[in-house]
Amino acid sequence: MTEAAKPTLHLHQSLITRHELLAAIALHARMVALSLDQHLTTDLSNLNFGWILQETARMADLAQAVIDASIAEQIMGGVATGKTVVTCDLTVVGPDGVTK
Amino acid sequence: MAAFVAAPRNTMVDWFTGKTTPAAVATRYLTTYNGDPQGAGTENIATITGSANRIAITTAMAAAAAGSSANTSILTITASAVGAATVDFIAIKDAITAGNTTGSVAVTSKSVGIGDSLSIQIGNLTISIT
Repeated sequence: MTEAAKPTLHLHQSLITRHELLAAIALHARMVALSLDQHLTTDLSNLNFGWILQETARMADLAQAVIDASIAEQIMGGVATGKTVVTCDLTVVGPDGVTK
Repeated sequence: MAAFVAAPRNTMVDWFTGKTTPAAVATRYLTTYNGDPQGAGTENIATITGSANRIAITTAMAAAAAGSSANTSILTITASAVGAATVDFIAIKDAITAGNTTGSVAVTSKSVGIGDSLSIQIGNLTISIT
């Protein structure tokens, strides 16, 4: 498994991996989708457009952090992939000659 | 978790940097486990074969090319098991009995029954550094 680069964040300083950033983006997107779903089927006048804009901007910032981390990783020459690997496939044959 | 345990990795790095020359090695051995050899797994080759002696692999392994080696002959653990066991890991050891684990890997779990043969066909054991 490769180690993710640590991006420079201007939001959510506790988030240090791209997986967590992407998870946060997904969470915000779900929150917006849930709110839209609730209000569109009931009362559109109660829909908080300001909040939706804020969440959308937050998702964009998080996505940019992921992009920045990936670019930084490329500048540094990529992610090291050196690793030791052992693979093995066992063959079991029964007394009847049938491979299990 | 790395396939090679820390000791051989350190040996390789030290050799690579010129700090130390590894000791000569005669033979490496393969054995079977129920559970992770680098965790709480239990070696069970004695259950299967009736002997604690592991299977020598050194002469069967090809010289490394492109950082990888595979077995060029069949490695027979047993032609007829004397006891039943579940094998879900194999380990590479530096001694025919006792000794140390140098590497290990999970395998597709096999239930070995009495009378079953257990082997590793040609090319089915690979050891690599990528």
